[in-house]
Amino acid sequence: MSEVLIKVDHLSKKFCRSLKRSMYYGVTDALKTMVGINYSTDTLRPSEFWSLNDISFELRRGETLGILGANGSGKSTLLRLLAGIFPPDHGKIEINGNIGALIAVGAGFHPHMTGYENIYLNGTILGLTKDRIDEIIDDITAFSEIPEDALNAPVATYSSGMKVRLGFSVAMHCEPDILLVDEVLSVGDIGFKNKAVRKMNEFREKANGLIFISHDLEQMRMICDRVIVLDKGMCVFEGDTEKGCIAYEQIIHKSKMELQEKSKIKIEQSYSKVSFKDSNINLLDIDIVDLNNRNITDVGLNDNLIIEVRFKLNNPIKDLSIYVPIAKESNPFFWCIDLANDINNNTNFGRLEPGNYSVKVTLDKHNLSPGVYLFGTITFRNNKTYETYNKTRIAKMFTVNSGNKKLNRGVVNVNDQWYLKKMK
Amino acid sequence: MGNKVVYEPNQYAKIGFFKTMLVIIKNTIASKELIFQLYKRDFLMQYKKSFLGLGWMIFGPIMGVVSWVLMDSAGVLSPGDVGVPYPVYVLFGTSIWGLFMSFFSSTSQTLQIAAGFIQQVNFHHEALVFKQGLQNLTNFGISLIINIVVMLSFGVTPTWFIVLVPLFIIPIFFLAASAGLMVSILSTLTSDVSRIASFFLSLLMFITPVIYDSSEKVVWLQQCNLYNPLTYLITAPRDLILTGTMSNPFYYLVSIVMAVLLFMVALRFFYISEKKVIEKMI
Repeated sequence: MSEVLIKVDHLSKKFCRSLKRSMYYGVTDALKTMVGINYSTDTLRPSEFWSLNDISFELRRGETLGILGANGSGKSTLLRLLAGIFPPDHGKIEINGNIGALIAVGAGFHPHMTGYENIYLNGTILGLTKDRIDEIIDDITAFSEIPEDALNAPVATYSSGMKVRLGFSVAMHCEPDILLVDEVLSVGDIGFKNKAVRKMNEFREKANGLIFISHDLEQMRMICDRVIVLDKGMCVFEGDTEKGCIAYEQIIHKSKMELQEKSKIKIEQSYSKVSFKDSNINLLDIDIVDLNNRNITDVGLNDNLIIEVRFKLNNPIKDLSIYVPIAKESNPFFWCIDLANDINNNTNFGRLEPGNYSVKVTLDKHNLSPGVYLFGTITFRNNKTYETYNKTRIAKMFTVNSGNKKLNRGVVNVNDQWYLKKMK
Repeated sequence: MGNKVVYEPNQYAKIGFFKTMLVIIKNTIASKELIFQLYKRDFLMQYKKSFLGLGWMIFGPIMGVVSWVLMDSAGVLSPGDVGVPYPVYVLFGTSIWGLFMSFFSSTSQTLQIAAGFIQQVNFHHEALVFKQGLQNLTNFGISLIINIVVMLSFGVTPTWFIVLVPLFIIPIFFLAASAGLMVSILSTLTSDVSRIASFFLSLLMFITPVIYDSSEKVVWLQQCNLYNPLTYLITAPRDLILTGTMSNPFYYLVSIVMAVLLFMVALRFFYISEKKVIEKMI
């Protein structure tokens, strides 16, 4: 096993929700410290909450750890504690090596100073000496791709992307043993983003340690060996990146659902929506069911996917087609699959009399890659005349679990075989 | 490979009083380049967006001189017999007072000046204290030169004590910074503190014989002057430079010792509280 760079042991951190109480606690704590009274930080006082609660993990040399979590789950707080900016309230952090934190790039930039002057200022704030900056300034400016004339102009004249590029370049050239990166890659254009990811991989290959926060799951999968998932300050998952990403998606989905549960009206207004409806058909419900006809929300990678659509017919209809699109939860308007019984698959229900119906669609091999999915707009239509009867969206989601298999990251999961041959 | 660091709750409070001083000295020396860079940022940059630019470093103090000379010639001030031309007397007093005030107001902003990056980067925050001091010294140095020019033009030659100015400044910095550091920590938590502090500071000027001579004033004011350490820290250097004499050497020494002790207590307070306070900087 390689050397442990960061060891976090039962770490907790609390904050206060009320401004007045926060002031009061701050002043009393400060005065207690001044006169030498030791006070315990272990317990919560009124209005306080655990922003981080009993977190333990290790980062080893050469490893990249991702931190996932919804907004307010404590990711940035954790990074600040690791960087030594905030003190812990409980537990312990041990760090072996120099730590560099990329929490906000370009920290301390002065708008009236030129790009060059700001490189020296920012570099010094990050702990570089002037001599060291003299040595690497060409690398920094080259990496940032900022033209010479702009480097001699005040930073106030820069675009926000340029500022980020300059800040990121300085930070990446500090070469700490352990780098903490907080979502800074979400800015900058795609070219620079790729370069930044390459630079981080280079950094990782030098067998340094990296801790990375992002909401971009693709980036996480590209960079991280392992992830931890935080939810309301607690670590709910630690391990394989792929599974962590799914755990994260589930949390996001769950909290979205919880939020929607709280107010039914919001469901109507946000996702669930009847775009069009005539007197012929009402969509009653849609569910994923198992072979025993029970409603389920989890589907294995190799399981059959059975979708049941229930609807009420008010008038007789001939040649009915039902369209059931499935989309990734993260992008509900891009459909991965659009199932339909139309002329193309020779499934014609013929003439249907009024009444309640249930229709099941079975996908023997659904080929969906692991993740959280939902249904798009379900459409009832006449497949001869193309007359539309009903278009409805129902907020109902399901998860495709990966099991233990390492998988591709696309929308579909395929069985691929590769052959390598040297050409003449 | 870097050193091993451990973060624990209340860890700074567990370090002994004198060890804190050593740590602070060590950290300050380690941050000398940072002090210089921040000094450059805050000092030079304040003149950047200005037509007169660095010229303000000279115009500022000159404008101060002009206003005192004008007030004196109009006869609106009744300072009492101060022994030297009044403008010279008051200029010297007010520039030392001004140094005290600027030391105070800048150290009371110690954490605030780094608001842009203090929550993003970990560095030795002691550097900010000394950077603020350095910045004020530059301003004082310039106004001192102007003061000497004014003195000479009024026919007063400074005594040789003028070369000791750098030493005279140290206890003034200590006293100002000890108040400033406390205010910096507490005003981060609640803005009441800085308001109260600025009120008391303006009051302090009236009970310090800066623009008047103590001997001809009412008894309670003389008492205030007597128990105010600033009286000695400001008047001793002024009198030594203008007349070559000092009225209360013992009290001056006591004031210096007091300033040093207070500064150490304030530094310790700053050191053990600053991290707890930074998380509340919003």
